[in-house]
Amino acid sequence: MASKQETSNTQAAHRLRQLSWLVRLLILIGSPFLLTVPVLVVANPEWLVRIGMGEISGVSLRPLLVGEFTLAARLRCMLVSLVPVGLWAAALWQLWQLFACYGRQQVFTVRAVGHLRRFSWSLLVLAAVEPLARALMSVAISWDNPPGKRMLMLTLGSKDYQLLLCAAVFVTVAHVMAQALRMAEENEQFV
Amino acid sequence: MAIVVQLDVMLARRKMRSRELAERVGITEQNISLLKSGKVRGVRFDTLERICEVLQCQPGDLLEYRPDTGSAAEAGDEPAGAL
Repeated sequence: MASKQETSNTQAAHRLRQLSWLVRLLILIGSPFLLTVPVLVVANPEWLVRIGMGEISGVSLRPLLVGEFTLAARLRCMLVSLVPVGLWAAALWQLWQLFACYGRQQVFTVRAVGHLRRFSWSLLVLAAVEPLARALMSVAISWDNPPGKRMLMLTLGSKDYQLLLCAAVFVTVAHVMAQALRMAEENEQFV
Repeated sequence: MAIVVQLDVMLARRKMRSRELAERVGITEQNISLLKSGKVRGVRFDTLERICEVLQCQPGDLLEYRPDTGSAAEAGDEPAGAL
């Protein structure tokens, strides 16, 4: 008959596998939307001006645009959008790998801690890059405007603060997990 | 390490193989092998208790303290007239 400890360990392992499956499912669902952002920027500029940038910054970008939103402008915006999208894709990839390790019950391993560390630093870089990307986007949108009408818009919002806070927490957790890994390795040397 | 593990001696006395001891104690044969060769950082009390129960011995039969040459020299090196 299994002891209480063994039953508890089995339940914890099962819960971890379920969480791993759930998070990876969420990543699978969200990733296609992320990857369509650069396409939407080119194909549907109205989306960019009305929703994509406007929603994030909280400020309407219509005044930035004088005249037609040319293909060249859309391509410039698409190139700018590739930077944060690429970083988000890299972060989600590290998160996927991390939860794949957790699904295999590899919690205190060098590999898992490495994925957590890279994910957390990706978020931190994103927290810095997103406001810069928005600023570049405003230049890309208004570049074709007549002289004197080009604009550089710098915005910082509550979502930037939230992302920065989350990133800082994850970086700290990654550091703590590295310490826990050292303790786990030391513990393994006891029989 | 100054602590020497005499597990191989006790296994020979009880005519028991490492595999059987590992199964009865509930740890892997690899860990028994590491313990025999002294390549572990420590032994948990519950593991020690189970080993003593299986081998019908005392912890002192399994563990011996042999100070290193350097520390032994320091311990015995008293200046004349110290007492």
